[in-house]
Amino acid sequence: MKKIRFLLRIAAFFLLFCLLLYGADRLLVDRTAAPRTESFYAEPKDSIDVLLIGSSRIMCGIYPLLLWEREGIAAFDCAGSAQVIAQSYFQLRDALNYQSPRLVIVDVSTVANGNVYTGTESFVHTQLDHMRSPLVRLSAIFTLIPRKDRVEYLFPIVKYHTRWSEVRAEDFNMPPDICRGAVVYTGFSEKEEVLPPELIPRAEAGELHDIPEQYLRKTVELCRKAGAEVLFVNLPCVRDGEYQRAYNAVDALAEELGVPYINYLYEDSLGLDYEKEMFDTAHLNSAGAEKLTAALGSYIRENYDIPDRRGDAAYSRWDADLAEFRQKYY
Amino acid sequence: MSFTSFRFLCFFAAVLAAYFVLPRRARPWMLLCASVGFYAAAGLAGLLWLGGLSLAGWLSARGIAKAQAEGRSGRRFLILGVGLHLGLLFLLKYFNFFAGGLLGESAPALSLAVPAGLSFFVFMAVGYLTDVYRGICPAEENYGRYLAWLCFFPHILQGPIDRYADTAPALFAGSVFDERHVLRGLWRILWGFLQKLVIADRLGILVSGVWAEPENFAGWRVAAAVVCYALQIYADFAGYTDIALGAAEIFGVRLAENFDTPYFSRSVPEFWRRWHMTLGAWFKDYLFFSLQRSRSFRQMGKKLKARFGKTAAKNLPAALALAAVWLFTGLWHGARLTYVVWGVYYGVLIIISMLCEPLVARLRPKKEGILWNAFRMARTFALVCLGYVLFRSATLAEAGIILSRIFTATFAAGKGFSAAGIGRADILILAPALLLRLAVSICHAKGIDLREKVMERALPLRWGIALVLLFAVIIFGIYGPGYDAASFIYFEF
Amino acid sequence: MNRNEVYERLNAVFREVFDDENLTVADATTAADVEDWDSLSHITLIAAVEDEFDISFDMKTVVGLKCVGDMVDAILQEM
Repeated sequence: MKKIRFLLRIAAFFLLFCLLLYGADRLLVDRTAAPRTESFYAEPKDSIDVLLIGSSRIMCGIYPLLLWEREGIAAFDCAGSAQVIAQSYFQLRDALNYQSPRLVIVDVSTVANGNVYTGTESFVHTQLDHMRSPLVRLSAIFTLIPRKDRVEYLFPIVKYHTRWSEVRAEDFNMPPDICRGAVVYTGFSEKEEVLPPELIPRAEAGELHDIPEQYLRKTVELCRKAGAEVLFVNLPCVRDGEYQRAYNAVDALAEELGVPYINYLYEDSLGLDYEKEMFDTAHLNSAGAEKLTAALGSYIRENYDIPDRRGDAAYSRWDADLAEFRQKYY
Repeated sequence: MSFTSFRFLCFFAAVLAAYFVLPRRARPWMLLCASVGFYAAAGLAGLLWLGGLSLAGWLSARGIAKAQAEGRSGRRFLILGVGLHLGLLFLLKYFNFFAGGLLGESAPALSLAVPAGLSFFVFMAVGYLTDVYRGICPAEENYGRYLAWLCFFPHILQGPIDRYADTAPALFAGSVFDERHVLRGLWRILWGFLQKLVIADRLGILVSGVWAEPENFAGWRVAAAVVCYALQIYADFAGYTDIALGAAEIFGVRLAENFDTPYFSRSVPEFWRRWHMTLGAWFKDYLFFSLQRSRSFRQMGKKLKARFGKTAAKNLPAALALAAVWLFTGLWHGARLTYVVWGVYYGVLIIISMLCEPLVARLRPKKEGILWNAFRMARTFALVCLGYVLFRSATLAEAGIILSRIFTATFAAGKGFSAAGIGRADILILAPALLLRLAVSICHAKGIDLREKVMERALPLRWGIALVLLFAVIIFGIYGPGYDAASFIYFEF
Repeated sequence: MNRNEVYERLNAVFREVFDDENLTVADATTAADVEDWDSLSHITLIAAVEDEFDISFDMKTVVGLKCVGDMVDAILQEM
C-alpha cells in the first residue's frame, strides 16, 4: 500500500540520518579528555584488578603505574574532574561492563560538595559524552541531569555543533595516554600557596547529605554484587573545618557498611610534606603521589588478595609504559 | 512554544503520527486538541483569554447571522464583537503605552500579561466577524470548529492572518493522506529552519552587537548592520512563515502567503503589496475599504468633488484612509513610539507616492531597462532600510544615534565586526547561505516551483539535498548552550 | 437595459476614472489589464460606477468581482 511504502522510505531516511548524526556527533565532540577515556576501553577485558573512582584528587594522587612497579598491581583510574559521588556511581557501572576488578577504591572527598547530583558542567559532559555503555549513559542522564538540560546530553551535538570550525585532524591523532587514568602534576601551582591543614578532631563529624550518602551505599552494593571489595579513601588536602566535618562523617557510614576508610588527613605515618608534595590545596604533585601510592600499594598488598601480575605475558605492555612514564615524569 | 525548539519538533512529530493514524473524521478534532495544547504551553492565563474571546467572537457572529436572517443588519452584534476584541487588545497591549504617554509618570499601569499571538488572532476574529456581516462567509454554527480554526497552531502565534472562508473548509475536511503534500510541507519546514537558525539568528548577533553600542562603530559598519537587519528580519519572518505554511500543508490546509520576494520591489507601495501580505490585505479590506465605503467618506468625496474637483475628491479621502491604515499598522507592531513613527514614515511615503502618481507616470521612461529597474529596486531597498532603523530601535533617540553615525561618522575609526560577535567562521556560513536565499528568491520571482523540481529528482539526489540542508541547520544553526573550550581542560580545576 | 448599453456608460466611467480616452473594457478585462487599476482606484471606480448607475453594491458583491464581466452582471442585477 502506498502509505506503507512511504513510511518505509521515511524510516529508511531517518535511519540514515541517525547514522550520520552519530558520525557528526563523534566528529564534533570535545576530545580534550579523549586519550584518557579511550585508554580505559583499550584495556583487555577483565584485566584490571583494582579500579579507582572519584574526583580529580584521586586522579592526581594515585598513579596506577607506580602500583604496578612496586606491587605488580594492575589498577586503573576511572575518576573524573569534579566528579561527585552520584556521577562516580554511574562511572563504575559503566566500567564494570568492561572489567571485573577485585577491589574498588572510592575517593569520598566530594561528600563535601553538597547535596548535588553533578559537579562542574563541562566535566559532566566529558564524563557522559565519552561513556560507552549506552544504557548506563541514558540512565545517568535521566538520573543526574535536570529535565531542561537533558537534550544537550542526549544529543551532545547540540552543545558541540559550534565547534565545526575548530575541529582539526590532530584531534583524532593524539598520542595515547599511558598513565592508566592518572594525571600527573609536577611542581607547584602558581595560584595558591600550600600550608599544612589545621585538623579538627576526627570524632568531630557532620552529617552526610542525602544524595552522596545514597550513592555511596549504592556504590558499595554494586561492588559487592560484582564480587569486588570496597575501600573508601580521602586524600590529603587543605580544607577548613566545614569540609573536614564532611570527610569525617563518612566514618559512621563506613563502619555501618563494613567498609574500611583511610582518611589520609589523619595518617601521620604517611609523612606528607604539604609544602613540598602538594601541587595545590586539593591535589598532590608527583612527589606526593609517589609517596601516597607507595603507602597505598603496601596497604593493598597486605590486606587484599590482589594478584601480582608481573611476568604475566598479557601485561607486558605495562612494563613498557612504566618505562616511558618514568622517563617522562621522573 | 517556539517553532525552532526541540520541544516543538517533538510536539510536531507526535501530532503528525497521531494525525495519520487516526481515522479521517477524527483528524480535525485531534488538531483542535493539539492546537489548544500548543497554546497552553505558553501559559494558562493566555488560554483563558483565548477561550473567552473565541466564545465571544463565535456568539457575536451567530448573532449577526440570526439578525440578518430576520431582515435586520446585525450591526449591533458586529460592533459588540469587534469592540470586545479590539477593546481587549487595546487594554492588554496598549493601555500602559497610552496612559504613560498621556499622563506621564503618574499614569496607572495594568500589569496583565499579553497572551501570545493576541494581535494576530484578534485580527483574524475581527476579519471573520466582518466577513459574516458582509455576507462573504456564513457564521460557523459549531464553536469547536471556530476555535479549531482560530487557534490552529501553525498560525496562532505569528500569523499569517487568515480568512475563515479560505482555510476553514480544508481544515475540517480532514485531509486524505497525500504523500506529495507531506513531502512538500516537510521541505518547506526545513527551508524555514535554515532561514531562521542559520541566517536570521546569526545576522541577529551582528545587528544586536552594533545596535548596543553604535558609537563604537564606523558609520559604514552601522549601515551594513542595518542592511543585515533587513536580511535578518526577512529570513526570520519568512522562515517562520515557511514553517507555518509547511506544517499546515502537511495537514492539507493552505494558509495564505505572506511574502512575494519583497526586496525585489521597485516602489514602496509595491513593497507593501509583497511584504507581510496578509497584514496589508487585512488593513486594506477591513480598515481602508470600510472607511472609503463609509457614508461619511463618500459624502466628503462628493463635497470635495463639488468644490475642488475630481482629483481632490479622489485623493483626500484616500489619503485620510491611508493615514489611518499606516498609523494603525505601525501601532499594531507594538506599543512603542518607534513603531508608530515607522508607520507614519511609510504612510507619508505612500501618500506622497499616490499623490505624485500622475506626475511620475509622465516622467517614467517608456522602456523599462534592467538598469532602471535595478535603480528602482535599490532605491526602494534603501527607503525600506531607513524604515528599519526606526523599527529596530527601542527609542527615537536610539534611532537618531544610528542615523547620525551612518551619515556623519561614516568613516570614523571604530571596532571591527568581531566586536559585535561575528567572526570569520560566521561570514563563511552567511555568504553561501545568503546566496542560496537569493537564488531561491530569484526562482520564486520567476515562478519556478523549487520543491517540485527537487522532488522530481532521483532518490539519492533528493536525500542528499535533504541531508545537506538538515545538517547545515544542525551544525551551523544558532542554538544550544554554546561551547567554551577553556572549560574542558581539566588541568584548570 | 442590455449589456451593450451598460458597456457604453461603463466605458465612459472607466475613461474618466483612469484618465485614458482610449480605454475600452470587455467581459474578460481584469484589474491586471488596466494600468493603474489598484486597490485605491478600485474603490474610486466602484463609487463612480455606483453614482453613474444610481445603484449600491454590497460588500459581498464588491469583494467577489473578479473581472469587468462580473461587474456588468452585478450592475444589471442591481438595476
